[in-house]
Formats: sequence, structure tokens, C-alpha cells
Amino acid sequence: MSNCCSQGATREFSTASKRKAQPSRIGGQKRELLAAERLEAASRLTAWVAHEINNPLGAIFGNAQLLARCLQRDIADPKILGEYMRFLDGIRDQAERCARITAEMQRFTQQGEPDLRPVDIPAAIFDAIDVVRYAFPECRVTCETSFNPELPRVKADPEWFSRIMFELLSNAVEASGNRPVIVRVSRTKEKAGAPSNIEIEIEDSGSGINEAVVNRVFDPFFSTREKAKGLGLTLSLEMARKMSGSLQIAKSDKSGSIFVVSIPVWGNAN
Amino acid sequence: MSSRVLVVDDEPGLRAVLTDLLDMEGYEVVDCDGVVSAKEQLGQREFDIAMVDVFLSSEPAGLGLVSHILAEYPNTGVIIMTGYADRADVEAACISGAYTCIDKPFDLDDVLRVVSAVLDDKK
Repeated sequence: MSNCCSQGATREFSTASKRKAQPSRIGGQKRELLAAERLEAASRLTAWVAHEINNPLGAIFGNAQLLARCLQRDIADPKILGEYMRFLDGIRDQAERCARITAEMQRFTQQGEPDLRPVDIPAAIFDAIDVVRYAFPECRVTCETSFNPELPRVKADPEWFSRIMFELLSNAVEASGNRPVIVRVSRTKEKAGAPSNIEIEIEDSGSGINEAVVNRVFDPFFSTREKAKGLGLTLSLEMARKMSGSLQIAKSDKSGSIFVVSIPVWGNAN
Repeated sequence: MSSRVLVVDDEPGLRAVLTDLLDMEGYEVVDCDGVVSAKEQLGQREFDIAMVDVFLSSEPAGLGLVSHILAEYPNTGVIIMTGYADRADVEAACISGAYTCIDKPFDLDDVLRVVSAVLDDKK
């Protein structure tokens, strides 16, 4: 696996420890709860809309198929039959397109609960970086942290963790163009009785998130990009939250943004 | 003698499609728009297959009907239909004896394949 992270280095979290003091997170816990409530409302609405569309869509699709069967049975001239079938194919293609949209809407409402397991952070991050490099061959994603072999594993759903990492990395790459995206890993200090967390920072070299919308980036169906659905960050936040973690914006200004994912370690409390 | 199929769906458009399809294929079809009329039909004649929509009048009453059919009419093969993504209840119904679940919107060839498979299974 090619990346700039050095596994098995002697000093733990070398770069993270050198970084400047952590800036306060934008929005914080209240912001997360508000986003979770909005997501729940959007999920309910989405499930209802998908169901309401699927019923008439099923009738459109079914009637088109029935008509096709009748035409094939009753029209002997292949030229005429072909012409009629072409019109029906047009109806069927567009109905299938709508069905794909409703299926995607339903997947949005179908997140379920995480399958929590001990997840190896370096391996998961390297895999996510590889996927992003494959999707964006020109990108410059680097990992500044040297991993200690004793780095504890986190308590996470491996699939969900990968999806969060891909979302954040691909957003960062899109914001940065061919400028660098930096990934850092650090461990929070243990508080009394509470297991510590592993924090993964993704810093882009973009121009920052507009101040007017920075508090809306986790809202469902909100995006500053024209063709984006505005669900990636919403779902990432929800997945992090369901894994007893968090996803926050640590910084966003003209020099770029830093998103931080925090996931509990798989430790004594488990 | 042709096989008899009960179609239970509160969506008239979909009910008509299924009825026409099965009729064209030579099945004897009875269609109902809700639980009450479905139970009446079940009490009057024997059905080889019941196709039941999970959500009738926006309530998951279809699952109650499925349980009723499985308990009272064990010779009737049950096919569940759903336009919702949440499958936990549907999967439970399948475990308890429903043959399968088909998602809306469905392909008519798939419907015919499932109906045929249920009838083969009953032989």
C-alpha cells in the first residue's frame, strides 16, 4: 500500500503532538443534536415520499409491461411492433430511473444500527486514502501521523468508518484541487471512567466554508456544490454519532477547513 | 382447473395491473382493497396464493392479514408485497411462513416467476 504514513514508528502521534492548540469546534454538541433531529425528520419524510411514489410508479411500470405483452401478442408486423415497443421502452426506461431514485431515497432512511467491532485505524485510513486516490488520481492526500504499533483499535462499524473517511477525504480533495489534503491522527486524554477517543483530522487546502453556511453543512439535502445531494456529511455525522463518536468542523477559514472525526477506543469499557 | 389467486392492495392502479397480468396468464383472480374484504373472500373459497401488500391504508395491517392467512389457511401460499424499505417485520413474516417478499415497483416477469414457484412448491 503506498502512502506516506510510517507504520511501526517509535514515537506515537508525532505530528499531532506538534500541532498548534486545538481550536474550538464550530457548533459543537448542540449542533450535532440539531442535525440528528433534522436527519430523523428528513428520513421520515423521505420514507413516506419514496413509498407514495413507488405505488403509482409500480402502476406505470406494470401497465407499460402489460401493454408490451398485448402488442407482442396482437401485432404481427415486426416494423410496426418495433416502433410501438420503442415508445414503451421510453416509458419503462424513465420509470426505472424513478425507481432507482426512490431506491436511493430508501437507502438513506435505512441506515440501521452499527455493527461495532475493533477497527484498526491505520489500516482503515490507508484503505480509505487508496480508494480516494483511485477516484481522484490527481489528488495529493498525505498522512502526517506516524503510527505506533500499540495504537489501540477503535470501537466502530468498519463499513461505516470507511464511508465517513471516504466522504471527508473526497470532500477535502474536491475543495483542494491539486493542493494537499492532510490526515492526522491523535488520541484524546482519558477522562475519569470514560474511554479515550481516537481523533482523525482531515485538513484541506480549499478556501474554507462560507461563514453564512458553515452551520448548515450537516443539514440534510444542503450542499454548496450544484450537483451534490447534500447527504454525505449528514449521514457521516449520524454514523459517527451512532458509534458514540462525533464529527465536527475544527476550523474553516481562507486557508482551508479541518474536519475531525472522533471515535471511542476499543478499551476497558468494552 | 386454474389456480386461484387473491390480490390484496389498497392501490387501485397496482391492483388492476396484477389482476390483469394474472388473468392474462390464465389464473383465476380475486382482488380486494383491504383486510376486511380479504377475510370475507378467504372465508368463501379456497385460494392457492394470496398476494398481500404490507401497508394497507397507510398502516402495516397487511402483516396482520398475513399472520391470519398463515394460521387459518395453511394451504394458501403467501407472497408479501412492499413499497417500504424497512424489512424487519417483513422478514419476520417470511420466517413464520410467508413464501417471499417482492419489492414495489416490481417487474411483472418476476411476479409471474414467484407465483409459479409458489405453486410448484405447493405440489
